[in-house]
Amino acid sequence: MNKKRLLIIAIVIAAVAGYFVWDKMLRTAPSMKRLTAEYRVNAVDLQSEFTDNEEVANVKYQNQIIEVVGEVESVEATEGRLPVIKLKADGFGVVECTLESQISSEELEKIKLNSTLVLRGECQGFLMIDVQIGRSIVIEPS
Amino acid sequence: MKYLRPTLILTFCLLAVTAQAQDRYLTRAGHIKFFSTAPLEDIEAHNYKALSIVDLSKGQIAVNLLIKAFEFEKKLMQEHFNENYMESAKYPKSTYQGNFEVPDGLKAMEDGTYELDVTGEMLIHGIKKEVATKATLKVEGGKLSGEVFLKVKVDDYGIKIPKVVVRNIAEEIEVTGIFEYDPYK
Repeated sequence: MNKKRLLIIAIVIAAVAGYFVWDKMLRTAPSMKRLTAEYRVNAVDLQSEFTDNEEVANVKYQNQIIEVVGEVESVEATEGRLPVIKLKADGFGVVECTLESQISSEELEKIKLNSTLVLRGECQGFLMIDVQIGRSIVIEPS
Repeated sequence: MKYLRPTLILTFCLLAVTAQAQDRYLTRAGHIKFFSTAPLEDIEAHNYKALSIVDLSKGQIAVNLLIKAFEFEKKLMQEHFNENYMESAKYPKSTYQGNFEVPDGLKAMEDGTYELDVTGEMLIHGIKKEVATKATLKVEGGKLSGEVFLKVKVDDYGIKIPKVVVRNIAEEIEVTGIFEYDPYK
C-alpha cells in the first residue's frame, strides 16, 4: 500500500515537473494562424493613430494581435532575414510587416505592388513614422 | 539685370537651407547585432529596423529600436529573450543618444573614415546609463555610413539571468550597430 502511494506521488511530482519544464522552457507561442485579432485596421489609419498620439496608440495596439489592410508598397526578401511586406501609409511612413517565417520566392512573387493585402501579426510599436508588425502572415488573399 | 539680385538672394537662401538640411542624415533600416558568448553556447540576434539620425552640425547621434524586432535563429530563444530577460512588452524600446566632436572633414562631408569618441545615454530595459564608446563615421562619394561597437553588461540594466542558464548567456553582450544613412530633409 505504502509503495503504491509513493509511486503515485512520484508520478504526480514527475508530471508537475515535466509540465513546468515544458511550460517555462520548451513551449513556443502558438502560430499566428491559430490566433485571432483584437483589431482590424487600415494601414493608413493605424499609422495616423500612432502619429497623432503614440502613447494612446501603444496602449491600444502594442503587443496585440491585429489585422492590417493596406496597399503593398514593397516586398523585401534578403537571404538570412525574414521577408518584409511594407504597406503604404501617410507620407513617407509605412506599416512594416515582418513575416512569421520564410516563404518561397514563388509565393513572394505572387504579391504584387499596389495590390491590397490583409496581414495578421503582432504590433511591436512605432518608430518615428513607421509602425512595425512582427510574426505576420498574409490572410487575404489567402 | 533687374532680376539678377533677387535671383542671387534666392539662390543663396536655397543653398543655405540645403546645406542645413544636409547636416542631418537618417536611416530607418539600421542593423543592430547582438552577440553573447558563454561556455555552453553562442547566441546571436539581429534587428534590421533600427532608426538612427546623425546631426553633423550639432555633433549628435540618436539610435532608436524596438526590442521585439530582434530576430533569433531559434524561435524559443527569441521568446525567452523577450519575455524572461528584456520584458519587451513592458519595455518595448531601447534608445541611445550621444554627442561627439565633429572633425572639419566630416562637417564638410569629405571622403574619409572618421573615428569618434561618443558620450551619451543608453536606455535598455527601462534603465538609463551613461555610455562612452568609439564610433566610426565614413564618407564615401557623398554617402554617410556608420559603425559602432560596445559591450553591455546585462546586470547594469537590471536584466536578471536565472542560475540555471548562467552558462548559456554571457554577462556582457557585444552590440554592433551598422548604419547606411540618407540625407534627411
